[in-house]
Amino acid sequence: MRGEALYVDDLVIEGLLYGRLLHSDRARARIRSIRLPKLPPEVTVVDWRDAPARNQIHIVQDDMPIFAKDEVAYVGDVILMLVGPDEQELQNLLSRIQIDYQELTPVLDPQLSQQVFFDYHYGHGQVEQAFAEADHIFSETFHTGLQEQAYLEPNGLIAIPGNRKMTVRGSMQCPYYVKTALVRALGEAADQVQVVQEVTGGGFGGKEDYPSVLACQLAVAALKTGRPVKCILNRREDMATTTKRHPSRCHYKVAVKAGQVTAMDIDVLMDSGAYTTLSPVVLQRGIIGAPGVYRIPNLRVHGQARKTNTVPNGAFRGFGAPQTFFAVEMMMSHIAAALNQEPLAFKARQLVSQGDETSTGGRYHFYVSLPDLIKRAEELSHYREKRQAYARQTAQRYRRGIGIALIYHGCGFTGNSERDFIKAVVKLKKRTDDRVEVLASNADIGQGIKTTFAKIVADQLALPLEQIIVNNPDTDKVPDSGPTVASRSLMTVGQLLAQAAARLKQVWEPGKEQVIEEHYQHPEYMIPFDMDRFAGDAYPTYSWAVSVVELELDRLTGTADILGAWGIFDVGVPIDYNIVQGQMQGGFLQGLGYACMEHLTYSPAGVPQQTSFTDYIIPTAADVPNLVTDLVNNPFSHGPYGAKGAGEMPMVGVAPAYLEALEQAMNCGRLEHVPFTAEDVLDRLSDADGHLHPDFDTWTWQSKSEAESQPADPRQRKG
Amino acid sequence: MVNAYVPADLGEALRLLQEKTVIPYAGGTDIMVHPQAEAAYLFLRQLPELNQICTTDQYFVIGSAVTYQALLTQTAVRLPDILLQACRQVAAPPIRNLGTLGGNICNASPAGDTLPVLYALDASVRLARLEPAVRDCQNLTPTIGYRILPLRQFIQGVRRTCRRPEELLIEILIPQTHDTLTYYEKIASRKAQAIAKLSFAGAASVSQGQLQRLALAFGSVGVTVVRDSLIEAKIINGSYDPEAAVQAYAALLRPITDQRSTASYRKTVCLNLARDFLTAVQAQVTAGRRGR
Ligand SMILES: Cc1cc2nc3c(=O)[nH]c(=O)nc-3n(C[C@H](O)[C@H](O)[C@H](O)COP(=O)(O)OP(=O)(O)OC[C@H]3O[C@@H](n4cnc5c(N)ncnc54)[C@H](O)[C@@H]3O)c2cc1C
Repeated sequence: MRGEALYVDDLVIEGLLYGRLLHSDRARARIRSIRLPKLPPEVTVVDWRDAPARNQIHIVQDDMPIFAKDEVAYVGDVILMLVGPDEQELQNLLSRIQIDYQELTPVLDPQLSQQVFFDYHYGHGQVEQAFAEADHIFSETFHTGLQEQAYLEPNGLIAIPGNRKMTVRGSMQCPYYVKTALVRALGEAADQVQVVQEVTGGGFGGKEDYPSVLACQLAVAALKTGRPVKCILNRREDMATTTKRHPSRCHYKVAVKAGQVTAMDIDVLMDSGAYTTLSPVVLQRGIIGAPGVYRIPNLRVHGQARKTNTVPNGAFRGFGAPQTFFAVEMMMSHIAAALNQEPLAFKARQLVSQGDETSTGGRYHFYVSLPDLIKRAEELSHYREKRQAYARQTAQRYRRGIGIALIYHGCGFTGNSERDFIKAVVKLKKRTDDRVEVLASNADIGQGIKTTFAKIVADQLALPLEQIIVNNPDTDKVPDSGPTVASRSLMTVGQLLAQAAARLKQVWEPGKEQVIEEHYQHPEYMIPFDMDRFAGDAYPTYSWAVSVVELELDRLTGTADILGAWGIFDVGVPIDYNIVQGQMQGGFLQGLGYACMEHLTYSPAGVPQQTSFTDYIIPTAADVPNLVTDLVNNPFSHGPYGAKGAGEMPMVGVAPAYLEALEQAMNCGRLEHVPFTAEDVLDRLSDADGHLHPDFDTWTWQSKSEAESQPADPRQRKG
Repeated sequence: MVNAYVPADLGEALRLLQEKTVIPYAGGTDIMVHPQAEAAYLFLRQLPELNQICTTDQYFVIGSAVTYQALLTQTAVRLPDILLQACRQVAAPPIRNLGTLGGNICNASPAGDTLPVLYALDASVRLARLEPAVRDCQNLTPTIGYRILPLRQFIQGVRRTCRRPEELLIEILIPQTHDTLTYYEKIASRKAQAIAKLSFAGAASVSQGQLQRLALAFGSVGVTVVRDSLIEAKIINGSYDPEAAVQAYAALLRPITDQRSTASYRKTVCLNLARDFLTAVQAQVTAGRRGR
């Protein structure tokens, strides 16, 4: 670490102007008129009228305007930009702009929203029959909350107009996404748009879609002024107005016969926020994973994403999976408890294994390592012993609990996207000095892709690492090898690089410039995915993980101390052990925040309430002083050196493991939402004391033998 | 342009304070959250008079510019453990290296972590200024005038104290009580670097089955730290048992719901902790009686 890296805000560019955004302060309104203060000559207003081609931003769909024209759809929607040489002056002028709104009632609850953005169905087997024949039928509804990516560096870009060329530089994950959005927004030919990634201080998905938005706004401003224009969001602005994790409501109905789950009927609703951004893809991944890591012979899944007048929700580590994996893990645990079984034993009996069908009728083509991971997790955490011991504890104030969750990550893009849309290309350019430059569009955003790419190429070519050059991607120099998402960069693009390097080695001529190009090939074993029916192999392979959380609850304060935390992961083969450990530890904390701290709410008027790190609390290392992460190798035949996806997994399993542990410590019934804060704990404990009536509990249980619905009794639950 | 003054001693600091419009700046950890471009700051860290820790017959004396880190690492004086507990839970090492007790007090946030403890320990503050009478007389060395105020009187509201513009807080005085039971809890959303949702400090002195002194102080649940002498007196004189006292506090405490927590959570936890503390006090009293 030398501290030499420059963020986009550190770049010195001649003639630079600043752009400051005017955000809507209404959640849903028509704009009747805009009254500007008298503007000094050096300040320019940029709005929808200035969009040269179309006032739309291409993400997956094109529903988000570059600048709001006559209506705003969330608090934060961008109405215009002021551009000028003095940022403070712009800020003062912004505060003097008066907007005459005609207010409309905002829709904040997706369950009340009439506007369905996306609606998907899939399933297999005989669901109705399975329910008819079941011994028990359980149902329950789960909720998950918003989450902010909380990257170190806020979003920021500079647009630089050139001679028949527009260059955008800055903080981003996906240079070619930004480029495509710019080409469409400006109506330019592709070679007139250049996008360069600068050193990026974290993304976690939050710089997958949003940079396309800011890039279009800035490019319009740069076109109008003819000068470079920079906009770095301040922290509050970034937290208040850029994409977050989709809140969800998941309803599960599950049939059990002879101790095995025979059917699941799942309904998933995601809150898309004001625009569609990446909601379709997030929803797809979420519902594909909805049955979890279990063999479910009869399955019906319905998923929707609906519009609300809130910040558009987008990509965030896990991408739909944290929501549904939370729900299914809690559901399985609750069923086990109802049937008087130890949750892990109940789950372990119905795990998928190699050769089984996936939820979408694809195949688990490769070895499913979950039993090995569980074994390792038990060795390290003594889960079973502790689970039993804590079920017998009698302490009053401090009570302990331990929980476990089993999850997977579908590695890479969902469905055939790699084959049909991305069509990744990489190049290796050997220079005359025999140094080799990696040309790929994947961005190092702190996940270490520069290191791992270089290691792969160096090893293939038997060169020292220093001889491999990986620069930040520049679309004028690198081919489109796809975005930096979904753990695809290493597995998919890294594999292309390994192949390219192997070919280069064969033709290597010292002192000569040589270029090798490699194109993506869809693995031949994959069952083609039918996106309309959700049928086939959704992913080329899966990574697996087990998370264990042990905690001690203070029943007087509702706060919990983490006593131990374990994450066991199958990432294929780690290309760089330290990088993977870094991902696993950081991801664990992000998962912990999701489970119990990161609480983000809107006021009744749709104003986000937590827009600073003082109010939006993310965990620090002090919250998990004893975190153990471990890897179990399970090489993937089609990944470089056996590598597959890694970065999402540590995030996904923590919330269900934490809540299972908390349930045991609280010993007063089922928990069904995250974040589950200390406030929630105390509310629930006082409910259990009989002060309040539990109206939160959506659990139902019908048994064939009793042929009647058993009402929920939160005190009945056993560890 | 930021102006800064670095006085060499207390006298110079007080003179600057009297002559110029300057903002006292100790660690700056509260000030720098909202820096003012036009302000002039008066640095205090380097003043020897504000950096001492000592004891007198009756008091622990802590200079207002003593940092948390210095309090936690000094070995000269055996400070009340409950104060150190609170200091340990302030922010994280970088802030503890800069932040001061004086700053925590003068900032007068109801969430200041040391305040409930200082209230419970009956702390006072000593303020200093140049005596007005001497100001015009150039031949005389100006004399410094002091006043001592109980902390509970000094802090008047959210970010409001009765410090006069020309005064500096120079020392915190903590009576050397002989508490047999102290109790401190800071409740925040995470373990480090977090503002308290609420905090509670309890101190009691039990001697031979007699409750001699009792203090319960609640932070972050009102405009200032809440301490109620009447309730305490009734507990001491036996008119309130723990449960009755908890009921009295239930009527007294009126926390609010904000972006950090809810009113009901704050209140419930305060009462839970008060009950827990008072039960422990009662156990000590009972044990003492039995021992007699
Ligand atoms: C990241 C972060 C985390 C924090 N976490 C906590 C926490 O966990 N708990 C907590 O209680 N606080 C916390 N704080 C607040 C702050 O650190 C404390 O209040 C600290 O004690 C302030 O001391 P200081 O010396 O830095 O005050 P300064 O910022 O120097 O001053 C604060 C105020 O007091 C005045 N002042 C200071 N000294 C004197 C004096 N001798 N005479 C007269 N006026 C004076 C100043 O003019 C100013 O108005 C945090 C702050 C930050 C930035």
